[in-house]
Amino acid sequence: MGFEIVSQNEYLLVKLLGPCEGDDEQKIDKVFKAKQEETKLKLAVFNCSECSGVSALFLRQLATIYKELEKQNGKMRLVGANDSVIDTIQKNGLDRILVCKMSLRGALVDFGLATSKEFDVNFINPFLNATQKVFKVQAFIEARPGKPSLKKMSDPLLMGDISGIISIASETFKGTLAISMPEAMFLKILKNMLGTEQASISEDVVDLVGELANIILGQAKIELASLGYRLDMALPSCVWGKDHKIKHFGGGVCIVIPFETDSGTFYTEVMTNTNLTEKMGTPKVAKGA
Amino acid sequence: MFDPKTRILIVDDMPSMRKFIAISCKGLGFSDFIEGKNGNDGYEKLVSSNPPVGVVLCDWNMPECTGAEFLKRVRSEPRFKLLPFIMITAEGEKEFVVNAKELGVSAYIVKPFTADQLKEKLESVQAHLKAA
Repeated sequence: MGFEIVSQNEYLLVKLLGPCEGDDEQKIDKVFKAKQEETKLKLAVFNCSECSGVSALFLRQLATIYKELEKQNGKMRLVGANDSVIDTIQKNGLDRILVCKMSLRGALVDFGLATSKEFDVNFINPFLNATQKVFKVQAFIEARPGKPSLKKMSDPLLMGDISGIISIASETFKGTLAISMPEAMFLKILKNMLGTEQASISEDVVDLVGELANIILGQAKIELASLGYRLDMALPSCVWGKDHKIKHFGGGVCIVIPFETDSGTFYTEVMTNTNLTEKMGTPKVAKGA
Repeated sequence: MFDPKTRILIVDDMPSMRKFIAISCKGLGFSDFIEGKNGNDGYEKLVSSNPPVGVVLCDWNMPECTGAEFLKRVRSEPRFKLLPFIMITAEGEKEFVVNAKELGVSAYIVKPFTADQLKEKLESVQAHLKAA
């Protein structure tokens, strides 16, 4: 087992690598204590997304860290823990001190470093990267991202003629991912992937756009997991027809990312029930996606 | 590689994805396919198939019965203990891969995938089968 400790601005991020037995030569509580004395940071997040399991010995070391932080009015949280880790914590009676959150955002909210209503712009880049990769690898289409923009939640219109829609749920927000494209592009993808040539969209093939949304979300989830976000995903659905609409309830934001291709423009939309408070930055373009 | 006459069971709730996987397999020389739209349907097709199914290619997230539940059921029967079962799914996080391995999956492919990746996994599975 290994671990990495990285200083963030206001907290220490400890990434657990592999199964945690606690029998390493360098005990995590000793290494953590040294780092904490060096940085004076009193908040700690343990990212367990790559940790398949923990032993009681390791949990005792984490409990030691907790006690040291508590003395200094500090806090610690675990994020991305799987069911096995959570179960072991509970069985050892440590669930009150080794508190597990689904996502890094959830931990930061507990620390008072973020509010549950803020939207993390770093959340968008995984969707951007995933869209490019999926269109290239699965649909054989090169997609070039444009500048993201905000769409009013009261605007129900989706941009294309056919859309794949899939729900997203995380600890700190709920939302929807939609992939919306013109008819001509969908027919091209149909031909590229299935060898089917047809003049218009028909009901027997529309599931393809839902599957694309599904695969994009799956890819985004992998990158988001490395950032400490845990998402659940539902089964996708598809909507089609000129000027088709989707209505979202509950407030929040809708971020639209346009993608240019040789077959036209399509859009990835990420809609959530949170309010945007941070200014959106320039999206990072994935290399070799 | 598997004999081109091998019967392949493709299980996915999306008809287009079933077709896409079949096309990918055709490109590798296979021609005998049966399909299931979820784990329950897949199981029914598996047990009633004649000739027997040689390889299962299965999605994870499906209504009624997931790919994981289907895999668990398959591996619980001695006659299917060594049946090549490849998960092809959008779920790429480590916990899913680990879970699938614990359930006895033969190989795991994360969508999006290429025909070359499918070929590589089929060859790998067959090599393990020969060695077993």
